Amino acid sequence: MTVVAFVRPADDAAAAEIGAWGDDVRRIALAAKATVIDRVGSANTRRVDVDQVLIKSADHVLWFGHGRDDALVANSVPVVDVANIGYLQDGVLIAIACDSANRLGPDAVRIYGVRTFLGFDDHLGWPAQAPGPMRDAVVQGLDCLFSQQHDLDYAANQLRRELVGARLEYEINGANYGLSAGEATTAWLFAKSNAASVRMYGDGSATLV
Amino acid sequence: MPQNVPPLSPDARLAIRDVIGRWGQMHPRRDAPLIRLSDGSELTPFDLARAAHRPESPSGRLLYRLFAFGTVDADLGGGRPLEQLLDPYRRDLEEWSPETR
Repeated sequence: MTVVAFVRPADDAAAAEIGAWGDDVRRIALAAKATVIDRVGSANTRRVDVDQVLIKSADHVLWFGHGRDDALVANSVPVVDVANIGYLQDGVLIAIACDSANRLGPDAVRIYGVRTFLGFDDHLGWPAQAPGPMRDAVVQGLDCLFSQQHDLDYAANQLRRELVGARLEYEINGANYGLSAGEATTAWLFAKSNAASVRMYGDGSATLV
Repeated sequence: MPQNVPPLSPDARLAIRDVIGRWGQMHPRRDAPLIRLSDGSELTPFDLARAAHRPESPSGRLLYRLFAFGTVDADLGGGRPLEQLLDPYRRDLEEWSPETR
């Protein structure tokens, strides 16, 4: 039985918002009868908690929170980095977070035996006033991993396509979200950047369920 | 987005500095979060104005890279000419100007 862990530190407002996107994906996973562990909130996503998940429980991990080049972080402290990512050997790590596709992702795959990494190699940004299209893009981009049992290669492309769709949504319907013309263009710029920042390393044929 | 996007011309950089600099300062909610980033930071309209005037700051580098990449016809959907990207900000400025209120 494959176990998928959702880790959602929610250590500040932005992380809480991304964590809610993760909860949407978790519900899709549950609907697809996946076996799910959910670690949410700062008290449950300390390094020691995540080590336990990586060592004993999870085959794959989906992180929704903050990131930097070399780590996934909560309360500015590295929680997943090269010191513990090896525990996820042969598993999949998906990081909905900034920047971690720059070093953590490729190192995890090339050095520490993680089968596949999917994440972003730049800032992941969204309009504070109108996060909906970006949230929907992330959730629908990952949906197919569970509802259709698609592989990571397909999901990476789906995530890019959905973020392009978000870009168009901000461009065409920005005013419907209460955005001014300039605000909608700012959202467009970030959605375009987000789509181009999706990176996958490792085995694209891996599946989660 | 790529770190090395094609550089903007000096005229393009001046246009961004002028338009975004004014837009961020004139914005009616210039100190309210405009963009949230998953590194935990936020950008307000005033932050964008400051970034436009400080292109070597981290926010400035991000702002100019966003606009440069916005003009690129990337694989997943086209770019837009810089003037087309800046026009919506100009429209906001017109709307917010005292003469049109």
